[in-house]
Amino acid sequence: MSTEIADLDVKMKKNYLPFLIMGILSLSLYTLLYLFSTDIVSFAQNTNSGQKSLFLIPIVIAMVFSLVHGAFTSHFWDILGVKAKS
Amino acid sequence: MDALNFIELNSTTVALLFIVGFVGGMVSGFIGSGGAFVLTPAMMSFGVPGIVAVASNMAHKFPKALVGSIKRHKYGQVDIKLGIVMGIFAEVGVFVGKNFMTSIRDTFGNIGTDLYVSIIFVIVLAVVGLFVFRDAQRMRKSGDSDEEHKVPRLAQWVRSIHIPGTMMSFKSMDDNKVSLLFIAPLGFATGLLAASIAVGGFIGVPAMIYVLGVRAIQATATELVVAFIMGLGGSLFYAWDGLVDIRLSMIILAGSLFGVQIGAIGTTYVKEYTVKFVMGMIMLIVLLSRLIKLPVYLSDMELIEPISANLAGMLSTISQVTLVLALLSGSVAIIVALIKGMIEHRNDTRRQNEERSELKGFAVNAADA
Repeated sequence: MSTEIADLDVKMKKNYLPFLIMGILSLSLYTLLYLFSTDIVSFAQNTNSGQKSLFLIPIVIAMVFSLVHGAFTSHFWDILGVKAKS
Repeated sequence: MDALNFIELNSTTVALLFIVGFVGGMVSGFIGSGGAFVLTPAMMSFGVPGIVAVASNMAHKFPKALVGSIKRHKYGQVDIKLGIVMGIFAEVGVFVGKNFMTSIRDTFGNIGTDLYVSIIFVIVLAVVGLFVFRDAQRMRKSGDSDEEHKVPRLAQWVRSIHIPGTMMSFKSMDDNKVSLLFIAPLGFATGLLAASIAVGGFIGVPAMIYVLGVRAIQATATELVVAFIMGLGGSLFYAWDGLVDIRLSMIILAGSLFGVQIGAIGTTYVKEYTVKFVMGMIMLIVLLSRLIKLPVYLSDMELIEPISANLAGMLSTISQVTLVLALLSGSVAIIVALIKGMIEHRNDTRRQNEERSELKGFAVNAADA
């Protein structure tokens, strides 16, 4: 019985740990986006008016957010039990 | 040239963009297409200029395409060679399309890009929407959702043409050789459409299926490679001009990544023609929404008799309501299909388990006897 509980505990940790880590990371990224939104708009305006040094910023943001938030949402539905038909 | 005007974001706009992203993602996960045909007009309805809407949509699509293509490559569905070859030609199309958009903006201002994007939308949605509807009806009538792969007549002809020095073989075409001179215009057109309305798959996928004879499942998977290559290139082109509003892209991404997975899960519970019906229905309602807004753009550009401010406001509202209707009806159809499918699947599994345990019990009794 105790091994079963231990197994269940390991399984729960396996499912919830990546979900929590990715959730916190994703939330942190969106908080940063909110805090620096004015700067991000001014980067775009500067790029538009000819200063090209920061033009890659949106591309880097898109890649990082996609990977982190993508991993989080995948764990999210898994935990809720919404899964593809096997 | 118009100044770069990104919209002001408040909590209501953020919440609405998140919801639109979720629904757009759900639709794209369900029908296997970008979902930008919902997201681009939706952004424009919030007052985002056409060119910024297209640029910002591209920026959240290409990393998603990368993640998706890696996943489907693991299932053996991707023809990387075809994806890269088409992607290179598509990139040329993106470059030309993006320059065309920028020159429209420089000449006519943001309203010019709004009109251009809307006209392309109306044409593409009308043609593809009706085609998809007809195909869905045909599949439902024949009751055959898993048709055996037959190489279309056009693809057979394309494969029979031999132009020395341009032939290349592809695994998705059962290692048959096809001239690059056929692939080049298909890739170019895909890129051109992607740079114009951020949805290149409307040309790329049907072209691969009907002109090159690639199976539908491989075509949609290979399209992800094409989408990644041209999406990255297109985003770089637009980012170079500072036209990507990454705040919008990331808010939409937040919702759409939740939606994409629900939509994709939904497809495993329904028949293929249901997917096509939902796709056709949404396309035609979005088409109607753009069609209603067209006179406003035409009047703003003084291409028709100016319409009164009241009428313009009324048409804009009707257009927005129609778009909301498209999103709501699409998402309701998907959620209902998903819930219905899950309940049926659960009942089937339970019944099978009961039958299995009954058989087991019967076998044990027989052994005891």
